[in-house]
Amino acid sequence: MPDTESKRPLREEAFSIPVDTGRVFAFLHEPVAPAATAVVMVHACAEEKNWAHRVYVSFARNLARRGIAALRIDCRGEGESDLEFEDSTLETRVADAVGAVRFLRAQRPDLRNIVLLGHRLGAMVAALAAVELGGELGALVLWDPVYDGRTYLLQVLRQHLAAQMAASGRVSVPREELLRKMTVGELIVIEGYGFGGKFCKEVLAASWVDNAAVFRNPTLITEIASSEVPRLSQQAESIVGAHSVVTAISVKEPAFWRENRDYIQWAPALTASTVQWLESL
Amino acid sequence: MNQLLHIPSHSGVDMLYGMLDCPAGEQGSWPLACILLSPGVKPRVAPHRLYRKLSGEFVRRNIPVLRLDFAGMGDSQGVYDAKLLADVYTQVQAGQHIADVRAAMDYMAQRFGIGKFLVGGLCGAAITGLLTAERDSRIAGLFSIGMPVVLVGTESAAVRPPTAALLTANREIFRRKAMNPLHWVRLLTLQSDYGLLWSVMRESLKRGFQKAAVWRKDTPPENQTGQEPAMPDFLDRNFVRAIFKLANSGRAALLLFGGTDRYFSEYQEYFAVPWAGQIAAVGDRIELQVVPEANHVLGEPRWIEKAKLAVGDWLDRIVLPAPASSAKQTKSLRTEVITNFERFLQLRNQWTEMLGRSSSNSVTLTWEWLTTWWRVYGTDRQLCVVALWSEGRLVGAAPLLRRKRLALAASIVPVRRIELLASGEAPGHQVCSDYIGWIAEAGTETQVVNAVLDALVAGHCGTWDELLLPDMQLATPMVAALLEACRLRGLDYEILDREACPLISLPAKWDAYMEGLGSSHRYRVRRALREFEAAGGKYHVAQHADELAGMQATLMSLHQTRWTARGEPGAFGSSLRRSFHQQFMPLALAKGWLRLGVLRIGDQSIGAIYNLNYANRIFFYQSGILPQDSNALRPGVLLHANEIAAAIDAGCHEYDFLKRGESQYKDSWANGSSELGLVRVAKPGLSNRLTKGARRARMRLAVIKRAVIRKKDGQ
Repeated sequence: MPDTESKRPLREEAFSIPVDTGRVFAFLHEPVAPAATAVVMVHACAEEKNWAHRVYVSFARNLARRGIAALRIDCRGEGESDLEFEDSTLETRVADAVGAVRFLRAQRPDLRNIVLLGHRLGAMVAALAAVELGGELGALVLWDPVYDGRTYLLQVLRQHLAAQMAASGRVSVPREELLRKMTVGELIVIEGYGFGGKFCKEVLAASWVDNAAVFRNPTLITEIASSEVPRLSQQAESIVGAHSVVTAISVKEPAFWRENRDYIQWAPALTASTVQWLESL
Repeated sequence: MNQLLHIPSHSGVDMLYGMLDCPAGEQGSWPLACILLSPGVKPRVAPHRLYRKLSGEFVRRNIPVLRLDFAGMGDSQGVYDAKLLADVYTQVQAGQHIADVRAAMDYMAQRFGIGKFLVGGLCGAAITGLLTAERDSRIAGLFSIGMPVVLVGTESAAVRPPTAALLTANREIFRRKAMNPLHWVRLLTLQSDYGLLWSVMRESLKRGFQKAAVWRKDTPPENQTGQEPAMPDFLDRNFVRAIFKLANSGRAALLLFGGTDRYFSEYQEYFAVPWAGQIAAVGDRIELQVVPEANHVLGEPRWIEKAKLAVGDWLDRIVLPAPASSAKQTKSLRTEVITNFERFLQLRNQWTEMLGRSSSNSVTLTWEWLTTWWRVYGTDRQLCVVALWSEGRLVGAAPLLRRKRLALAASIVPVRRIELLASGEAPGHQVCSDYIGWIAEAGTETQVVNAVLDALVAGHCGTWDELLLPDMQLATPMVAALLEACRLRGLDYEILDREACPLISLPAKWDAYMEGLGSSHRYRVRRALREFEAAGGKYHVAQHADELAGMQATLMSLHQTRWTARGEPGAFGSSLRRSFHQQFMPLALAKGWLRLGVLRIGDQSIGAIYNLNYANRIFFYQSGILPQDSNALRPGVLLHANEIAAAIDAGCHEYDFLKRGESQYKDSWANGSSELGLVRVAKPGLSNRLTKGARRARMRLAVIKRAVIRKKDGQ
């Protein structure tokens, strides 16, 4: 269990980061002694964020107890931050990540290194933010990243189909039709989250895998699989082949961003591999 | 505007986090707050930020909303001891997070002066709010979305029959699919989800048509008989007990459901229909609101809007008018100061009914306890019971007395003192009446307190310098109302002699309680029970008046033998105290409150316990244990183990060890505590300044004395 591993003290503080015309809620976990490295954590999207929340918190506390500060943010449209979900876009999320890194840099000028970490869609956000941040960033960590916006949105829409089946016993609007509706600006509500046209268009168009500007800093891609011998995806292997600063690994963990039979508060293999990589920087 | 609150947990180890959504205007002008609790294992915003969407309905009515993360969830500290999600749900339904809710209320009371709360939220939050309301009278109402009424995530849940609504929905889905050739193609080309298909068929056919039929055969379509129906194993008994307790105490509950939520059909079929008679009896205090077509988490904007309307309507109709109606009662309250004991004796029925409607329903405030106490200790005291009447109904009372002679505050300053009935005995003769205080029908605390203070200030109980109100439970609307009223009147007040009462919030099953104990204590309990059984031991609880005297003598003898051997006077050394219990026990037995139990091996009694079972709470009062060279049989462990198990079987919700004192062993049984304290109220002036000055001087003197002794010992 994460919190019983160590009883080393840490400091915790919540605040708002001003971005554009709104506020981003942020939660900072710090070691008592000043940290040299900080990790800014960008979450997954919608209900994946809620299911993964406790793993994020445990990871942040673990880092702080190891002497690394961790700043968790809620992108606008989610958690405690401003904006309704349907008004948030990929662009606002990238702006939030960039704003958080710059805010932390201004607040903690002694930090030597700021690492941006993202999970699922948050990894796509982190990758796009890394382009804008360039040399302001020390490294990039991508947990089970969304490589392709279309595949991701189709996964999201599966839930909509399930809801249709539960409600009426049939699928009245197939997935491709829903995707088309999204792209022409229709709001599709999935389990309370309104996916708007602008957001969907941006996700579909987002291309970070082939963008060399993403990989100017050391980057760790960690893919998460439940199989005993997890294998890297073709996308990860091609990125590693194209960029020498990229390390890609695969770890065995349950998909903690979805409902599971187990109650998952902690991702030990993911944490250990990420911490090891961070400490090697 | 919102702010993150850092709330110390009751364990003192972890910090809980909660986001406070504040109304506009001045902080501290809030008479009521709402606490929305972690829904299941999700953080404090809830799925699709449901809580943030609903919070505005409270905030715009000047009700701040605290969205709280339970320990080990959301942002809060702590680790959750559960491997499976099902384990979490089981623990939540057993009341795992009651202490967290109470810690949040304590914090809100201390920081913002709020004494009344609405609690609840979605699913697990709803049941936690309800179970906390059962134990904490500061909760004025329950706000629930998707309340689970069956046991979720346990073996019971796995065998619970599908509801008729669910079976109908499944049949409808299969009927539609059977009409569609594409689904046959999918089925025959191995594209269907056969696991799902099989499980639905198995549920529908095997359990649905058999077990559901068995259950429904025994259950009338709608039970209006008023008799309690049989409870199937899968029904959450904690829910049934707690919802009626809440409603019977005059507090309101809003039960909001999505119309297609499985929990709604379970609520209807397993609770609302079989318990219709009992629900009707509590009138509109249990209010059901259904958002048609909505799912469990209200995951569509139109459903949220309907939920907001329902919540706003409930707040406006039920919750917020309460102060207005209470204010009306103030005008019509009639004050009677009872100084004649015969008159007090006549109030038996009215007193009992009023106490049952109050939030301070404790055995030490019963007519039986108070009148017995007065008979034994009334000498040299003047009875001053302030009774408040409204349209012929007793709605509140302050059971007080005054000394006929001046008391010495801090042993030095002569003061005219008014005290609580059942307190202030001479040292060595104390009965130790924990949980005493003033009484008011739930929701009328402020009015009752003001009426009593009006009477006291007007001198209807004679002139006085200080009121001493010891052993009141501090985290109650009564104490909050009293302190606020004193502040507004410019009376000096302070809380002294705080002390914790370790207690057990009892789960539904003995095994669940045992699992929550520390491993070494659990081992001791199991071993003691095993060895007692192997030795042929028997535990017997007094049932009849004719066995009472003998068992009473056994208790007193065992207790006195042990304590006098240690050079202590023992609890029954005082003739006054013995007399009190000899008079009270028969009354308690007749009322069904007394649990006087004796452990025997052969002809030898090795331990005895004196508990009181009142209003589904067990109060551990005293015990006696056979002094022995070795502690092999552990009578102390056996007495509590037997009593706790019996309390769980009887459906009690709390086992209270009363004040801890020197008895650290109580902590090894407890999973929570409540705090008692002495509320001292004084008229400002010379007497008050002298009293406080003398007390400070005595404290300094004591410190110096201890330092001198330490120095002397060191030399």
